[in-house]
Amino acid sequence: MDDSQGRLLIVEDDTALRRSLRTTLDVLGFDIGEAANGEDGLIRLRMVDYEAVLLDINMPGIGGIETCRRIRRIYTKLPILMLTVRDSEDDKVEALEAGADDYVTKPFQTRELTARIRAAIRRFRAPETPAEMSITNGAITLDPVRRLVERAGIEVHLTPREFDALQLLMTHAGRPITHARLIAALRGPGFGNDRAYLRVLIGQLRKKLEDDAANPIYILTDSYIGYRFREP
Amino acid sequence: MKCTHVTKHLLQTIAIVPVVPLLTAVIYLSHGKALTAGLIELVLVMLIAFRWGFLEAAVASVLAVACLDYFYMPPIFSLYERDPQDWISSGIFVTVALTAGHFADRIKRKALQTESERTSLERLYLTSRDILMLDRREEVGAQLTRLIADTFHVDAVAIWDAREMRMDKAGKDAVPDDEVRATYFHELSVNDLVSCKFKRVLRLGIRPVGAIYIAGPSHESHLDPRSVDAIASLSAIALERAHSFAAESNAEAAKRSEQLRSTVLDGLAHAFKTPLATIQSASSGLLEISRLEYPARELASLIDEQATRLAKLTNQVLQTAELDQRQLEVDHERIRLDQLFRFFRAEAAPTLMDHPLRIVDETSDNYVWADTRLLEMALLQLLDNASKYASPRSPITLRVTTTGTEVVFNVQNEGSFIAPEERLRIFQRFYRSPGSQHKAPGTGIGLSVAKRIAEAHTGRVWVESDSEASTTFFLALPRIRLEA
Repeated sequence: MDDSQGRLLIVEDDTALRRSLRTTLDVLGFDIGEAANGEDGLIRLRMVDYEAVLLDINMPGIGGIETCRRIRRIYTKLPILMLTVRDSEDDKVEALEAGADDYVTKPFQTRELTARIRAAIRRFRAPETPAEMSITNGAITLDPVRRLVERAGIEVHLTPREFDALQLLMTHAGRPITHARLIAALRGPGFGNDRAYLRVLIGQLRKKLEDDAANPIYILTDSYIGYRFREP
Repeated sequence: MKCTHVTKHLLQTIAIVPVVPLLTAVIYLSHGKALTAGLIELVLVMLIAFRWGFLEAAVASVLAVACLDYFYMPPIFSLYERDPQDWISSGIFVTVALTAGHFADRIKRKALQTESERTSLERLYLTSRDILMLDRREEVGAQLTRLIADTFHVDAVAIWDAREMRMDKAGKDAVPDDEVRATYFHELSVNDLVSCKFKRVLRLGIRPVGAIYIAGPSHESHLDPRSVDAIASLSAIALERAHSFAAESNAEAAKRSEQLRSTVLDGLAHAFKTPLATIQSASSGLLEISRLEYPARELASLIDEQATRLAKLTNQVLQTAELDQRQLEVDHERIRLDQLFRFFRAEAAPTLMDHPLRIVDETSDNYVWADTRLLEMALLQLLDNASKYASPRSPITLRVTTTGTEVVFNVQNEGSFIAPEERLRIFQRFYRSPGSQHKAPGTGIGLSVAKRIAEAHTGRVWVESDSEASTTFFLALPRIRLEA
């Protein structure tokens, strides 16, 4: 790859915030492209090979979510990070369902934002791992072929559903998986929104995998959104 | 009044004295028979009784007997009667005349009484109708006294409104203020019929609300104690109506002003949000990218911290605005308490500054039915509030208990006594108890959020505080048990 931290497109309608982001991220080593709205962003994506998009959710014109949907239709792998506002969980869920990889809540700390961007670019640059390869994250190893999970080298017995949930979370480590997506993956689409069931299932997984189920380090909760496995 | 009455009767009696002998003399001279004379006299007595009253009729009947005796009973032209039969007929005449006079008088009195009752009823009816039409934008007391003075043609009316400490007067005569107030303070009910003065304490139910004083003209009295009672009740009702109207419009005004404040504040918060996000992005970016030395680093951190704080406040304002605007939809879920506690250990504990968080579960259910997000929001507000006002480094306790019907969360902290009169008000939006402005930062919103959320769950919030030890905020939700 190249020397830079990554080529990042910022799609943000607020000029001041864009200026601040550009300055900071530029100094931190990112190659920055800018767009003031979704339509502009889509055009810029055609001109430059970006490695990640930072996309504001509230913008005039087609808006963040529609932009996200259109980007995802063309660039299936390009990481999209949504800039959202607090207490708009519905928006966040909608963005994730429209194909966003992650979200950052305004007002944000630059440290957190850059960490997320770096992680997204790292995932984007990482060579595609074949689906049958084992995944290791911390002390947890998951073997999709043999359907085995080991924790610190010791096999952990999981029910088929627990395994499916864990596999989904671990293959998307670092990214939030919405409740709806987890439920759909576990019970087939159209089964309904059985959050209580999901909560119990995650609770079981934590008991089996975490040192302290009350303070999990692997399976983290994104309040009102879903769960995410820790960044590898 | 009594005096003129007596004079009137006296004059009428004197008028009768020459009339009866003259009439008899005329009949005698025109050769009228004794029977004719007697019957004419009888008719006269009845007319007098009907017109003037019993006393005059009695005088007339005695005179008539004397005249008949004088002109017709032998020996004529003398009051002496020889024949005992004449004595009897004279006696009968007097009896008949007096009885007839008495009845005539009674019929007349009855008619008069009916008439006066009808008049006073009519007046009371008019008064009550006019009271309903009083202009509530003007002083009701003043209008009421004028109305009574005009309708009942009295000389002086005064109404003392005890709640407003206000005296209103109407009529041409002076009113002794002290007497009116004394009527209220001593709860008097006075009927002075001689000077035609009435005093009443105005009551609503048994509660005295003021006093009324009415002084009528002595010659033409339309007032009797019962009418005055009725006027007093009507006045009490009118005053009460005015008060409740005023209270209602005050409440309405207060509501409007709160709405206005909310609108202004929400507007500002919205306007602040974006620049604040930029400031924070810039300040945290500055700290992130450069190896700043002491003064610059310190100042950049300061900007960052304060921008964060402002952003938090702004967010809180917007959050409550949202709660206020929409009908809160409560999405009931079965929340496991251990998960809830985990959330608080993770989310709340770090924000409580130096205060250790203790969580005590004293329930038998280990779950609660509520809207997860709203419940967390409400309890976070209570914890945040506790951390702001607790004595330094003292622990904060979140305890959950169950009663027969409720799941009760309480957040207890040491210190921060809340006076009894403050305990309801602190849950009002924007209310901040006197002195708290200097003690802790806040907008006076957090507790109103907790209250709103509790109410949306048909629950309640309250506070207990004792000056010695601690302050505890309670949030109770209905205990829902779904039996399988």
